[in-house]
Amino acid sequence: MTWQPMTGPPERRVLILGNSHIAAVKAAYGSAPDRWPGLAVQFAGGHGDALAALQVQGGRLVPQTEAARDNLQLLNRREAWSLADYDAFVVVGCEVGIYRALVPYRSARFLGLSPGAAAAVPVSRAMFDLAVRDQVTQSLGGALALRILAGVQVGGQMAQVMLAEQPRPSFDCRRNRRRFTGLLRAHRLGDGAVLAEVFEAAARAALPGITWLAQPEDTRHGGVFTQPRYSVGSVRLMPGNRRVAHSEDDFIHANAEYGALVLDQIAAAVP
Amino acid sequence: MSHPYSDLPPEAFWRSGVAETDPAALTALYVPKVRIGPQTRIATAGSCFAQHIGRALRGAGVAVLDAEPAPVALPDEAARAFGYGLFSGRYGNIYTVRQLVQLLRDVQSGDVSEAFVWEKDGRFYDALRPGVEPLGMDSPEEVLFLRRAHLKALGKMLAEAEVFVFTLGLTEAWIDQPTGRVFQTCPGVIAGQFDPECHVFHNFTLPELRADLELAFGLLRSFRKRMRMILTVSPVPLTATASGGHVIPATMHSKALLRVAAGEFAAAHADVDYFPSYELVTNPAARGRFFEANQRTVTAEAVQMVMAAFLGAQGLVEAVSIPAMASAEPGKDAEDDGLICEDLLLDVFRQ
Repeated sequence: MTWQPMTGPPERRVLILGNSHIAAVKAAYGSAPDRWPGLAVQFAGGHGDALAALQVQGGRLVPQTEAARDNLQLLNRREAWSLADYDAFVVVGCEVGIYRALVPYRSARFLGLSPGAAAAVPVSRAMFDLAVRDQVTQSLGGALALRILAGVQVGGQMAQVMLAEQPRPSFDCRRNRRRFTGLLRAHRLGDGAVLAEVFEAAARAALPGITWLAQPEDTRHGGVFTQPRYSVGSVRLMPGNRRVAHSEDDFIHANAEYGALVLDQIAAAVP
Repeated sequence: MSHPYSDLPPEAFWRSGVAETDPAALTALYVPKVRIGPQTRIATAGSCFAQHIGRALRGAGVAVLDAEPAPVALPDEAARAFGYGLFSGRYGNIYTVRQLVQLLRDVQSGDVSEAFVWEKDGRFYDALRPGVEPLGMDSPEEVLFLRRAHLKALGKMLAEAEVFVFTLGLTEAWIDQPTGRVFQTCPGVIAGQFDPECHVFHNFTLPELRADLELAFGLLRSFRKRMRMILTVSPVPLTATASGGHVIPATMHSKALLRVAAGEFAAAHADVDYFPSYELVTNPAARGRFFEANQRTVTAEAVQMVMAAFLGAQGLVEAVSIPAMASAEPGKDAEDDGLICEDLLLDVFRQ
């Protein structure tokens, strides 16, 4: 691996890992790497849950399954990363998003949420929080970030571990009500802001030692959605720098404009 | 010459029934009067030991009711800490018969009161079941919101229950003098503040226990006309006594009263049965082997033996395995037997 020569302040070496949601960040960086002069960024993308197979072994992130190895090779032309090579690790997306709060919301409600369906069982907010926390810890991204943090700590490194929230679905998802029933319902009942607050607090609590990068404030809509302009033109996670657009009815991925804001957050957070 | 002892079976004699028998294989201790089958809808409640009973019944495929299953996915340990899956409702441990009477009356009336909300460090607790929300609640309103839902859920469950299995645990309790309300734990232990002017110690007497059992049975039958009852006494000794004496005589006093009250009550009612958990674990032939090193925690072997005796007598299974409630592993705290027991908190105050 070669790093750019240092001409100013030392660049911070950052490894950004993620599933399909990493494509927005990758596209932003590929379009204008000079916008973040303090960062030297590498990407480790994996389709689906390929990153679930990434474990720390001997100070390196190494896939544990053949399928994950093949996918990482295809997308990144490499399959392992040494923890010592980076000043910061950022997990992007990987299921750590507002849906983690939607899971308990389907069956339970606490005082402060709308009464909702009769089938929703009253629970304490503390227990609801705990359920969301557990969802975050068990998620692909939460578990990966915690594994990396543990590896960094075992190696005695000072590297920072961050997790950038998976963008909330575009508000245009109301064009597909069937698929986004839960979120649209929460929005309609006025529960969006409370759910977002619960989710963010739970994510922070579930990931001690990990810097939480919440969805940039200006990109949000109604608590649980993203403003459509940050979703239009999103691209798929592809090998190298290939750009293939998502279909118009993809409402869950963000675009490069959004990705640039995430890179701004990373640049501001890296020590 | 013939006399009443000449035709008695072997179990009627100490030598053949006990001294010459493996204490883990005592027979004929329990001949069920109240029969249950796999389809019988059962509700369970009581002290910590009752958690073993509910789990064993579920393990044997018996239809144990659960009025309040965990509505969200939580790890098992967390769900249990929040009072889910321990009994047929999220009432936590019901140590005294008076507590049961009080709860059943609350279910009937649906009444909740802010007077029974405890505070600790800015968090709020249901004084009548403070252990079921270990992190506390945000406000007194949230406590009452959840208590209303709890009582409503119990009402539906009790209307379905065919047999109510109740494990009697303690006679000692703390009472709120102005209202007569009995607490699950002494105020100040989990939350709230102990007030010597209001909070008085009470050791229930035999007549009180008998009267409370009558009340409880009547209340249960107000939810379902032909509900039957199985009583048992927890073999677990007291963690601490506030009676002023040594904990051993205090334990013996409590257990003796509970045993007599349960036995007499069962004998007086065709639809009430008594199952001898207490005797199976504490009898002299066992030589204390059914207790862990702390002489209080009941061993996994004992739980298995007790439940096998119950289920076997009921014709439900030959034997039952209860791995999840296994007793402490070597090197692990012997108190950690997987049960949720608020009274263990009293041990913290030991000097």
